[in-house]
Amino acid sequence: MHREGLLEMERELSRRNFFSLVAKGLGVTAALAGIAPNAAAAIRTRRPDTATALKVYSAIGNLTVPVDQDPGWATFDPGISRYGFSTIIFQVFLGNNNIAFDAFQDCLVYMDGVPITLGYNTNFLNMGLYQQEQYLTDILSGNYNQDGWQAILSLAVNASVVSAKTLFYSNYPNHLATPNSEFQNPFASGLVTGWVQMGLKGPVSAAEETALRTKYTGIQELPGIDTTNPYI
Amino acid sequence: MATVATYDVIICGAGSGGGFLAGEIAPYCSVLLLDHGPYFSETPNPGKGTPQRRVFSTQINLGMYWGDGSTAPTPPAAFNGVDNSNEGSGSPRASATANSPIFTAYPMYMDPSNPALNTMQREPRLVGGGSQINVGAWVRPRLVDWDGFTQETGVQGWTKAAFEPYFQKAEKIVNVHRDVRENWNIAAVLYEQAAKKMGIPVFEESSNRKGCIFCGHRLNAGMPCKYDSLQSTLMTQVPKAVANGATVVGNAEVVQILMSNNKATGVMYSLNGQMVQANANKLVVLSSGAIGTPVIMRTNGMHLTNPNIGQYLRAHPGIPIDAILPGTNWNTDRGYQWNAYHYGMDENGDPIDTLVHVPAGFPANTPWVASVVGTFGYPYKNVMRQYRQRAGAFIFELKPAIYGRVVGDINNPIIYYPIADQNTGYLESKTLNDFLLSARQVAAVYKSMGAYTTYPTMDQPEFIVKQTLSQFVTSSGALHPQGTCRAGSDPKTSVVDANCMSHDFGNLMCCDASVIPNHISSNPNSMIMAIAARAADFVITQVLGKTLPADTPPAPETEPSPAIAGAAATSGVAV
Repeated sequence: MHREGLLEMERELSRRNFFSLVAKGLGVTAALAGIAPNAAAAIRTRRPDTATALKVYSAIGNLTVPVDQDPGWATFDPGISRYGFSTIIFQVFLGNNNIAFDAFQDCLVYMDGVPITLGYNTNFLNMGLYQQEQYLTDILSGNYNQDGWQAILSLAVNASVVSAKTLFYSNYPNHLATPNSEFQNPFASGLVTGWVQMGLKGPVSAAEETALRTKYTGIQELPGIDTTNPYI
Repeated sequence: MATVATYDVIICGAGSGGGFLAGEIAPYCSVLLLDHGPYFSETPNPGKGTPQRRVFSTQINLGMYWGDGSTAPTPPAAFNGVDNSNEGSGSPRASATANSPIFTAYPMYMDPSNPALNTMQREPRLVGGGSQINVGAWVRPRLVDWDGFTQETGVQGWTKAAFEPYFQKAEKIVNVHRDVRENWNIAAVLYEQAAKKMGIPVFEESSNRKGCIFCGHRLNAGMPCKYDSLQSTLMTQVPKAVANGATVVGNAEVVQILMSNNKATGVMYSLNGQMVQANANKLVVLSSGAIGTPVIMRTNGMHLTNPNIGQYLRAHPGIPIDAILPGTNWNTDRGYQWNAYHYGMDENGDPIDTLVHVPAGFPANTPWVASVVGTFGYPYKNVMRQYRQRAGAFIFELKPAIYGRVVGDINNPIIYYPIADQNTGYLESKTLNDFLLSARQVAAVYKSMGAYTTYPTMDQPEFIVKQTLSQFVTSSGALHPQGTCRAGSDPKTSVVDANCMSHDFGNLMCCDASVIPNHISSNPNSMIMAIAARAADFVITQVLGKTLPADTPPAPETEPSPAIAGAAATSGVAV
């Protein structure tokens, strides 16, 4: 980045508030140190604890789309977690911003550690499924607003849940087009994917394209705009 | 480096503004049309497509679109110990050629309380530009917008009456027509019935299509229509320009505006790793969008002369709202998705500053089917599995009470758009209140249609709804950037004059969303094309000194341009 751009960003973006947020997290970390030194060490390191963050993300994915008679998130793990983490979160949501990605990972790591201070007797990753569900429900319900953790926890959970839904129901692992193939058949693998579960039809086939063209040939068109709109 | 040629007019950006302008002026002069993205140049075949574009469109319209800008043609290396290699060669980014960054993504900072977190503003980079996406939802500005233009910058002549002929001209060229109710999906039909009972008038969406087969891909992934049906400038004005002798160069990044005696005389652009110089006898037009145009000007230091360049960024944050409805039959049809629109309404029955696009069901392969927030686990999975009849709406806030700015240069453009309140973390209050009101209205419409539930669930505690909406916006960005080189009467508060000519630099025009003086209450593409049509008349008559055909609309009632008055030295036009 050019120096001028950096200077301009410095003027625009006061970091004071961000660091106050981080300081809040560090404060809890310090408090934790007196209660559970190991947990405190786990929830704040000098660099993001990517391994833990990825485990938390994977656990949230598993809670978001559980496995039952149909495949779920865990069916496609670890690939789906890594892909969601590195592509949906890092590239799509955070725009390849490493600083933001570090902060997001910190949020996930905090999310793992803070339940100890919030009435749970263990960290998130060591909870049973029922307890994990309750913890996520508490977060999504805003139950930690008074504790000052809500912003961090809801960021971690919302981004993870949304990315998990987005990825799974975008037909993972058949979510990428076959390059240079005019017609796609993402169901060819026979896997029960998110699309199969939802009953989506998928891309138009050659036969359907012909049928649609026939169906809509000569369809009524009225040039211009809807002039009944009195506000334009 | 070699000087390749000299043209009368060089246009930098072949989207809604530049592409349209090129088609209009090419019969009158020599034109070089540059675009940063690739040029898929086969002759349009509306309704069927061409081999090149049919294959190309399939690279990215299946499943989720990875909006990383395709700036990295191969998957990135592992980072922080996380292996990313499973992205595979089928990645849309991997399938983009190295010099064909189809989409670009600008970092967008929306939360001043947390500057480490940013989202991205995604824009297409290919000949045709945003017109390949956005004209699919053609909505005119509202009446209130026109007064807002004058109030904001004092721009003269930007009236509904003055622009009406240019809207009509553009609508004819790109085949804009109404999505008549007879063709609506059943979900849109039922939505209108329910909305009417609540006093919400619903209107037919318009779009630019020819030979559409209603594949359901409209607006999905935002890429050129596989069937050439979406009448973008790539399908309409660019071929017209080429037929009239214009030269179109794709994958060309403009890096320098050549200046002499404070007048633009050409550009330097990068092509295949080589720097190329092109000279302009008459005019250089920047039409790289509301982000790209100010970034090019900043790269050339022009913001040091006019500090308004890049300022006053307006945008439209948006939120989705999904509904789960009884029945299963809607999935059997594909359809057209965005059939109708309406405004959010206040308690007096007057429109507020939100625009609600009403898609029908989600029968095709749209990734939007995954609702954004709310439940998880078995309940959510069961909903997705059992209740296949879904509908949704997308709500744009048309006039947020903030504006942002564009900083940086072509290598590192940055968007600052502080829509989140620094103290609360929620969206700024006007935007948030408009969203709350509109989302509740839309949810009520769906409930009256028998919806089991909606997402977001609007009957949650208000602070949760606020948090949900705020986090969605700050993570997804704000669409429809505009206003960063706005038109006005005073160089102290604007960048270009009413004719889109630079206040400060001769022979330099801006022709895209950047010149819009204030928020408009619609997707800006219709306005951009009307601006381009109007600018074309100015270029033909005032810059080139040619005569317009007899059937041309009457001359716009703009402020007396120094160029028109013959005072070329102060007009920005060297004649």
